[in-house]
Amino acid sequence: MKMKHITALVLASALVLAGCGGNAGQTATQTSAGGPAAEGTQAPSDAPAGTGAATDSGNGRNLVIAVNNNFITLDTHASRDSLTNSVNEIMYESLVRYDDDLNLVPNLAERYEISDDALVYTFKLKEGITFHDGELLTAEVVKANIDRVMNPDKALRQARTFSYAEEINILDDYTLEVKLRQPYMAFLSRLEAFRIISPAALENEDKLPKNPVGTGQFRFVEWVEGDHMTVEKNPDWRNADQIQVDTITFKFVPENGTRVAMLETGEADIIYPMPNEMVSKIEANSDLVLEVRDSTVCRYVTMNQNVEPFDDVRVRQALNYAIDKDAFIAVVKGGYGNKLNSAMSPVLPYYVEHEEYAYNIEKAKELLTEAGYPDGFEATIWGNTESETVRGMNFIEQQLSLIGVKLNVMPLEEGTLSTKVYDTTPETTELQMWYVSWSAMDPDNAIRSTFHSEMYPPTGANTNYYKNLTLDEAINNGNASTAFEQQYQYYKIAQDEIWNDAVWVFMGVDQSLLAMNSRVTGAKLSSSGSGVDLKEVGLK
Amino acid sequence: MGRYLIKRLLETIPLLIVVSFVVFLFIRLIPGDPARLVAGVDATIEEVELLREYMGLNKPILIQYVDYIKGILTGDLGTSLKTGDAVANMLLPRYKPTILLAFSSMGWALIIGLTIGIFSAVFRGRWPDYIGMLVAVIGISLPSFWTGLMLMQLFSVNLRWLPTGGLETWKSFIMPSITLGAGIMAMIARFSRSEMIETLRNDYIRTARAKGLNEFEVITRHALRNSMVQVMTVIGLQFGFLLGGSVVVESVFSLPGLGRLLIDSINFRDYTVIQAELMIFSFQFIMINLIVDVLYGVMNPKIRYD
Repeated sequence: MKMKHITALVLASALVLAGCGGNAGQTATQTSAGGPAAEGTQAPSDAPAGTGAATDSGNGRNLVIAVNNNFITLDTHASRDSLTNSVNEIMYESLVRYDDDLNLVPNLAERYEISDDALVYTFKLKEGITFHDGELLTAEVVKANIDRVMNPDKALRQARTFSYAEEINILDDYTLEVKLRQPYMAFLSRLEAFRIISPAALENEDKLPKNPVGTGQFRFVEWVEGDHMTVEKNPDWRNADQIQVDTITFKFVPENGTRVAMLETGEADIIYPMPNEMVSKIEANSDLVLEVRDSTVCRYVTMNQNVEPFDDVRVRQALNYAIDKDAFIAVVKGGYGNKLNSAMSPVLPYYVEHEEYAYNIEKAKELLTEAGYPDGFEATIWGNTESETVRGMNFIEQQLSLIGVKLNVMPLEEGTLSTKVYDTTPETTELQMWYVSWSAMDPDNAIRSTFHSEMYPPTGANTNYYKNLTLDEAINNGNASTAFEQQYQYYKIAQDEIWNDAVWVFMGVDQSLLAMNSRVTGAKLSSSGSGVDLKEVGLK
Repeated sequence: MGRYLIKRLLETIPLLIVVSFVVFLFIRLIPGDPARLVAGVDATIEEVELLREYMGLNKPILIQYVDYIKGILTGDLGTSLKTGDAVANMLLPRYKPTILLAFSSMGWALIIGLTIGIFSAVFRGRWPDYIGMLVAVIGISLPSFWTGLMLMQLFSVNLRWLPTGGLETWKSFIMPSITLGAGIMAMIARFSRSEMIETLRNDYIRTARAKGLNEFEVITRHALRNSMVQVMTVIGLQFGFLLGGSVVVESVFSLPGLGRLLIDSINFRDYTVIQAELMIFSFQFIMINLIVDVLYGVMNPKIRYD
């Protein structure tokens, strides 16, 4: 009699588990209003019955990409992270875009002109472009988008694109001009990230974070919070026949090991980012392909020049000579990286190469002695708590110990670190050394906030507390110049100053890694090296 | 019993008020500025200020607290500082995976844990006992992170029997619930074993045997119910924790549950989401404790409240 109860209990539990699981399978495919439901691909043996809905085309080319984090918001004017940009970039478009060599070329604009004084930008839009909801792209629409971001009450990320804009004028249905208060060489580059939202969607601002309506190759299907997001091919896109997949599903998989496993089982076709410590698994598998690309991410150590001994350029140079950069790339970055020989990444057209501070312990010790520190000194180095960062700091600590510099390695949680670095004044800051990275696609963004003397925290990110008036002038002049050659000259002066003053310990330039199934074509790391460029992706 | 219940329910109100205030205050005392963290490192100070204003963080602390309490009472949990989405929209979809994981982990932990506990108690000192306790020690010692990844390597990558995670099928919950349930199973096994040993020593057990009942009936009909008090305590506490989500298992198996949401929110100092989650967790815990206390009485009539 009791056996019956126990058996019943076990069976009941099994039923409950099966029943609950069944629900999970069905609710995972809630669709947004409109648009046919699309299914991401699953492992071949595991397609759940009854949950598939018809995809848009008969071919069913469904790409699955596993990324390491949730998307934050699909309101492209508010979006601040490069991962979400990977999907915003294929649903929305901007007036200009980067080509493979990081040159800006027209996109939604057919052509653009800049006045000789660099104050007036005129854009002629392509005609006949429609949004996913059928609205037409006109100059009025672009102005409405600009007005929205320029409204300070909305605190939108894209406001800074138009920080120097004074007037927006509509010249005709498809032509508009932007007048700047002062020259701003990075304006076009900033415009690349300013994507145009449908006017109808702008009227429902509250829904924007989850209701993206753009002009791009793909349109939104569904977003299951925390689990996955699906987009489908936009058949009305102007070059629709060039789009080679029918749907793309982004799955959010925070754990590195899990992402790699998904690639191995076929549950994912692409994974990003690819952890460099697991590259051997990709190389061992003939179905998998690894893509490596130089990025815009520069890795370095800042040194607070208001604190001794970092006020002495000889000390800063000594630290540069004392660190073996090749070993850094091999040990800390798993072999994926390049040396950093300037204040910005070599992928930028404005990059200027410098002669490296070649690894030389004797020279380092000499410089330290000259500066008055024959027995070295002690200092504290900060960094966040990511394992690679801690590895990097430990590496630096070991290297500098060979010249008598004793470092106290202090990993700090990101939020706390941010407060200690930025929410201080030059007098109150405790920062001495900070191992960190910076990424920028244009030279102004690359060096103004980090080196200009008016950008000490909390105003900006010049955590070097570096003051060099020649540099400040070069940055200001570079910004005001209109022609590439002129700009290049000024940014060369700036980079030379920073290099010769050894403002940073120049550690290296990151390389980004993308791993995918060999069936995938046309997927690449975006030109900046962060985020994935899926605009031309296809499946064999 | 009814009066007892009402008294307990009324007591939860001041408790929740205290919790709300403590949570509210403490997360604001932690260093880290949500506006700065959301704005990003290359934001100018003007942008950070504008964002802070937009997030409502410039209002006096007391006003923020009052808004927060008003929100809870009217069911409006506020807007996330990080995503701009309503907090309720972020929390609700994450309940399903969390609850499914909680029930499935607890389910099998209970079944296996009790079985081991009973066998170990009945065969105390002999090999079933040793095996049982060995299993328990392994269950509680293995770090969930390692167990999860090892299971995934074996069953997903090598054997292709199970998916690596996500919400698509019920099979996605097998490995996570094993990983999460292992520690709970161990605790249930040990507690039920020791309580059962105690119970089996009692006179009424001897009486039952003398009456002619077979051993199976003695254990299940008489001993088991009286050995459940400690086990109930474990179940209650663990269930409370499980309903808060489990960051490690959710991360390894890509389950979008409440644990991951809490960690992400803490990293960004997303005050509104953190407050809402912690309040709800507290409320859940209080309710579970209440249920467990009542169940004590049901299980063992000697424990009654008048």
